[in-house]
Amino acid sequence: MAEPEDPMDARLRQYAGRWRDAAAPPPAVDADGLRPGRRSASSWWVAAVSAAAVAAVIVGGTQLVGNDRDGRPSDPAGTGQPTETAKPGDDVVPWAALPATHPQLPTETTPPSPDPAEAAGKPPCRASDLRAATSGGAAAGTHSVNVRLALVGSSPCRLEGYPDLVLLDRGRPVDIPLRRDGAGAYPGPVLVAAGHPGVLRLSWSSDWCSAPVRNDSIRMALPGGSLTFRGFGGSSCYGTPGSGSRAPVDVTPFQPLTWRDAAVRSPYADLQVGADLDLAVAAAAPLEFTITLTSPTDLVLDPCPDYRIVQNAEDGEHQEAYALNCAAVPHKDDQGRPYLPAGTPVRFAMRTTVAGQGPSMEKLGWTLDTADQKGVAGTLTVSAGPAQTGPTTAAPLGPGDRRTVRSAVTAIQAYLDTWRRDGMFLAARQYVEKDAQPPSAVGLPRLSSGKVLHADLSSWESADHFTLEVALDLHIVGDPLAWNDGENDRFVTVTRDGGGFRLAFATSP
Amino acid sequence: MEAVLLGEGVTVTDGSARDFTDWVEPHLPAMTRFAGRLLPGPDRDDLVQDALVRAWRRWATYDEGRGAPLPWLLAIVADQGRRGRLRSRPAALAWSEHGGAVELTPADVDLERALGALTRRQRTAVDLYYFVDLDVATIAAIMGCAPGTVKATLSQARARLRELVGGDDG
Repeated sequence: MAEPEDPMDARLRQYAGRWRDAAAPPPAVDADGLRPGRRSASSWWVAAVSAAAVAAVIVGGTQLVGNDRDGRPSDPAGTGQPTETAKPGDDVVPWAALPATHPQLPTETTPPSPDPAEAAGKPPCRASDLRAATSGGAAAGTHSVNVRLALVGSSPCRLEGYPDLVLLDRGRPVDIPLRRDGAGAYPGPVLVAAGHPGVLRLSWSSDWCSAPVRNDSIRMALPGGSLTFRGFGGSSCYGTPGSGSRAPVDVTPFQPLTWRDAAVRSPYADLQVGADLDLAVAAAAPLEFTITLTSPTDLVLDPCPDYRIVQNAEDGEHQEAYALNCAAVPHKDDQGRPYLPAGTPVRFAMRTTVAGQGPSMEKLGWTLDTADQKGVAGTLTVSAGPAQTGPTTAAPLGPGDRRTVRSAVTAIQAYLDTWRRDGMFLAARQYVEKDAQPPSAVGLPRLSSGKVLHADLSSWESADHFTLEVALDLHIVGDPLAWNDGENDRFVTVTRDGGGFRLAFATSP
Repeated sequence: MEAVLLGEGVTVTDGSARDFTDWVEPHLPAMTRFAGRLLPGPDRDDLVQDALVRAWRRWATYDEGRGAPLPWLLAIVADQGRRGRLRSRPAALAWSEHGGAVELTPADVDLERALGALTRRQRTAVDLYYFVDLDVATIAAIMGCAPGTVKATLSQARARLRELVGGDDG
């Protein structure tokens, strides 16, 4: 489609071809162990999908179990769980709701590598000691410039803290604020020696909308002079036009090229934690599982550690902290203290409540609350639970009322269709009546498609007046992204008006 | 809470995971490539992962009448990519992480930086056309505009890139 003589077209094709050839294969055909110490994305997905298949099979059963609120597990045998999810018995330490005690556990600390002490005695690097090279790129709207500062001579020197930078355009400073970003940074002075450069990273989200900004070079002041290297180039706007917001350039402190953080080890550092947390459950149902702890050496549970159960539901993270039920561990040492015998798995029953409302897939995590944060994670496939509070529980709708609700949803869809066909505009997150539309379309997003994804009854007064909670899928002309990240839940109050409905949209009930 | 029904043209399917896997598999390479343009390194696979989970959850709402599966899936990748960017920022200093294992020449680095200076629409069009290797009609479906608009956007993007990398073809 591009004119064959366009050299940029040829250059993009050539580079993109190499980029595609070099890219790793898709995760679903990737082998396990994509990242050490983590389940690979592919295996996680397979697990999630098979859990979903399980959910589809047992939905009928969960409704029966869901009515039983006596705390029995909602996940009967036969869902393919391995033996680790066996019911508490003689060989499983029973669960108890013991409050967390936040015990002080002994720890040992290994320093970071390289050790900042190596740089401590060296002189500060002078401008003439260093040569700057940059690399950089841009992904998802964030530009980055990585600066590598290599030693020119043979005498090692030291870089410390944040660089002293000025952003320039044709030699003149440009007005872009700098912001220090020390998150996760190497904690100490950096030794610069042969083969051991110092590095730093500058990143910028280009969120400048009042006027384009150019930054062709960056000057870094050092003792005895300065080094100048390539800047970010031109800015473009990702913010709200007219807001004049100026995104700062984030600057890291000087870092070694590669380094390992200081490590804090507790006696639990070598503990193996096992569990199968890929479970199919019903919303708000009791949730039971078994954690297996195996220590390679005899490990005395004194003081007794805490643990956390974390669920990431749609409405946020739910965390509970308890003390481990150490007293009930059957193994005692010669002083009568509970311990995990070397190489012997000890199983602990766990109990909580499903946080999500379903249907959804959520992450479930279990973590021992020690410096090493040993833990496991899995995926909960949550099916919608039994009816909870509200009028629908007390009096399920009759067939006539259900038809009314169905017509109301059709009316909402028809409203969206009209809105799209008539080329009406979306202003902020409000729905605007046709005759209240702004006179000009300039700068306003237009709906390219709108769809009712699902509707739940939020409140019911009568068939003439009720409120629906509606999830909408809205797309805007020219934007590949769904409006508002695809999260468009609205409360629509429906009032019967002659033969039709009056619809009032709101973002809360 | 009682799920009442879905909107017009939407049906609830109990679509088995197996069907979904078969349905989505042919589109995984394109989803992965697009994700690789949005997020570097291992974040790419997490993005594909999140997009697949979201796609599975919304699968019942996919409407063949509205378009082919690929644009629908890539729009989800784009959407999730933006969420990922808002949510997380790399904590560790990454020296040469450009979204793939490709050996970057200095000219490539200039080109990547120039790509980052495009508007989001231009960038999306270039990523989808050159890097994901899609045709203009599919890109138009993803971006919700006419094929002619995609062509114009690509042409504007190339003009801007020429300006940014200094005019020669490196």
